[in-house]
Amino acid sequence: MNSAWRIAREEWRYWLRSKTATAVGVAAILLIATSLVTNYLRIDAERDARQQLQAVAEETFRNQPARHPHRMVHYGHYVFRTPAPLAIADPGVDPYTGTVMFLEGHKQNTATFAPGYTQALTGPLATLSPALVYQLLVPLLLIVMGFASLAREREARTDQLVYTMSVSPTTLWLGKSAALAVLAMILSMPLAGITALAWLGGESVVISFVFWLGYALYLLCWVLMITAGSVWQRRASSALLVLLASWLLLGVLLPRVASSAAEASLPLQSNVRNNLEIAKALRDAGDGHNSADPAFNKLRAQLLAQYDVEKIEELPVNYRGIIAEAAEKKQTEIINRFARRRVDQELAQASAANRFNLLSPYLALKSFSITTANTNLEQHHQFLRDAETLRFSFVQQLNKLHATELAYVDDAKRSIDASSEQRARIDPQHWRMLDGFESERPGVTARLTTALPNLAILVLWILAAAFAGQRGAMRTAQQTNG
Amino acid sequence: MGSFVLEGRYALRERSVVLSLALTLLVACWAVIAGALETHKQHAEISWILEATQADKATVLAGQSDAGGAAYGMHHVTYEPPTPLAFAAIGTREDLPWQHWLTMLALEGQIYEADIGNPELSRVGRLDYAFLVSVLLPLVLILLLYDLDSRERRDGRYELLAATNASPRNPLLAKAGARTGLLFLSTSIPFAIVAVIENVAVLLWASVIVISALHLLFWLLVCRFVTHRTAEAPTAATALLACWLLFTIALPATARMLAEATVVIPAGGEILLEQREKVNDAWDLPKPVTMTSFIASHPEWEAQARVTQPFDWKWYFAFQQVGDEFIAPQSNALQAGIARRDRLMGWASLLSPPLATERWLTHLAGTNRSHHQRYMACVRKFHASLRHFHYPMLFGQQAFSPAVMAGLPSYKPCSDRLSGS
Repeated sequence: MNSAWRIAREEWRYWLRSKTATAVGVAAILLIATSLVTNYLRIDAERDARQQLQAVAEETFRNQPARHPHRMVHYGHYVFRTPAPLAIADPGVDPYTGTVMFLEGHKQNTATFAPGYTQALTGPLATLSPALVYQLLVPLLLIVMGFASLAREREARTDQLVYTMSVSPTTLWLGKSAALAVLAMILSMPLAGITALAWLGGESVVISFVFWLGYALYLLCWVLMITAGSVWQRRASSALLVLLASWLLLGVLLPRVASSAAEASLPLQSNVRNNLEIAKALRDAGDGHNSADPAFNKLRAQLLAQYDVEKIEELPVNYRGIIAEAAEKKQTEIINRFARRRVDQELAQASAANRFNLLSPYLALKSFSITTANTNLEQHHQFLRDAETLRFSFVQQLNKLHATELAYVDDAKRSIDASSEQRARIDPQHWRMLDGFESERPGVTARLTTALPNLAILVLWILAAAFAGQRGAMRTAQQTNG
Repeated sequence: MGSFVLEGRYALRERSVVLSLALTLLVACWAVIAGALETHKQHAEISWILEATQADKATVLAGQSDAGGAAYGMHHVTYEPPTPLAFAAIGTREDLPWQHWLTMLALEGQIYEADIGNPELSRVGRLDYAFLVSVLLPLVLILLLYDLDSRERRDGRYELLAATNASPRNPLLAKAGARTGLLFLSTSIPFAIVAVIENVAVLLWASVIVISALHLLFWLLVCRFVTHRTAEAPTAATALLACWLLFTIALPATARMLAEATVVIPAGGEILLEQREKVNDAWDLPKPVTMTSFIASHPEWEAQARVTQPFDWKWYFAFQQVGDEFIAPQSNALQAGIARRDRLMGWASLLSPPLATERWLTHLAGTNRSHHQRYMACVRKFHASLRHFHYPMLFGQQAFSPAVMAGLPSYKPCSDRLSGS
């Protein structure tokens, strides 16, 4: 073991003397620091802005004057999606999903204003988030540092010298891997710092640690793949070729193949098409604005029988309000059926793309990262569901007020008679019904459970790379001896 | 020319070269075919939507007895069809909306759709021809060229080559050029085949090929410049990777940070909130207040602007219009800001050939930022034409009838010199 550490120390000494290593170090520091700082500032500013706007939206709703309750149904409310604490490390789908959603009666609007809508377009890879830097660029830098670690010794035949000092090939390989692993761990420290910030920002300590651990395992996986590549190739330059080609395949090409394949095999229906289908389904269910709609005949007969009266004017409740409430319930069921279909389609696509995770540690880590950070598709769907729950709750509260607080006669004449219109308004104290909006986040255990398969894939890759590296070390030693 | 062909033949004897070229060819085929399938899917989606909207409008209209109800109940669809070349560069069609579902109500509340595709897949991005040319090809080229000089040096042939070559200052230029040419062919041929099948104008696809060639030429020169001066293959490779990182990621990312920091734009959420206040306040304001603001921009309706009932459709649509007009300065500032950021990125692309390539390709394919903004402007124009069509009926100058409603405008994509085939 001691000699492995000695070899690792020597490798470090070699790096400290080399100009390439210095350049790589500077590049790594610059990339990591820039990505951490800019992403932190961006997410922090977004969070502040969205929370502030959320407060403004709630305040203005509360401060509305006396009105007809159905006016408030259409006045509506806005909810803003606040990024999860770990979004400062991996913003996930945040730039591609709407940040604000308008909630009103009879309609489920989509989230609007995705951050990507206003950003300067830079081409496909130049969004420097810490996630991208650690997932793609740090492995690249590790390749540059480590591709020659074993191949170099063999090219210069210095490995023979080491073996004569009763150092086994496995130890040499282990030492070189340890040197690179230490470098990887040092590079992962800023990430540990940012996860600590996320912890201070309200993330669970277990999740923050596991998030870092996932990245550490991923980098370790690359370290072992690099030393394995270096040990199996006869020349340093061909080791570099193989490693770069692997990086290109695993990190750049395969993810896009996976997502294109998912998109082509399970096409997503456009929102406009969904809207058209919803409109048709809603038409068949009856219009809540029109109390004469035949769709409500049964409800009307039932109410008349229940209160034992002849005409709807004689009902102790406002028939229009009752209709509005019943219609909203029915419409919401229909709308939610379509919303669930859309969610299912998106999830099916995502899981089709995730089927490739076993083929690339990059893909496994990418999925692990967004599920653990809570910046994945499911979290966006959770936001949509929570917004819908809030929408339905305040709209139905308003419809209840419509049924109980207003007289049917005034309500029916309010569009043509000014004094009825005045009487068909209710006190603004009723607008104090919103108690803030916070999208629910899955708990620690739930997230760990979903993260586990991807962590297992990383461990598998680590074992495979270690096995290949050790085998390669033994083989080359035999070859040169024999 | 002869030496190029000869060098090409030599290159094809090397296993790693053949493997790289075959893989590139495979990826190129995948990219252009997947792109073509996607545009076909979008065309099919558009025809389905147009037909369904027609039926939807007819159904809604059949149940209406007045112009206001008809205007309120009907939905219209706007869309931007993919250009024939869009298969090569999906660009903004991946994550910015290219279709809208609108009513006559205030437009500002409806136009900022997001959630266009699956965000988890949009995040990964597409493997289209533009990505292949601007990001992947330089890397493959680096892998093909980084050890040309050092190999000759190692085998002791370099001096001989330099002495006998036609261009002694850069004796491996023909060899490198032949490899670049092969790489170029492995992507351009699949692209050209699909371009011809998709009826892309010859000038257009030829421009794409020229841009791709120029981009490869740039990287050929970078490779020659670096490897010619570096004795060791690994050092050369490291330097070339650094160049790739600089041009493909570092420069565009820095430019983006600068562009977004210098051009401040109004927050979208604020636009929505303020617009809603303006529209909803009208319910509680005296009617003449709203109508006066409306008349200010529509003096032709002054004589008909008196509202006598608590609810009147003309007043309802007037305050929708007033709400849009109120927020127009912020809305325009938002669009201007987005355009300015894009222009700054245009300047930045002078320093980054990969970014320039991507921008040129999306420009030719009609999938860049300014094209998307033109679509949004076209949507606004259409919405204005809807209002223009309905106002005579709402203000009582024209009677509501099926005959009049038959003239209802329907959306036509704004013509663009690039969108024709």
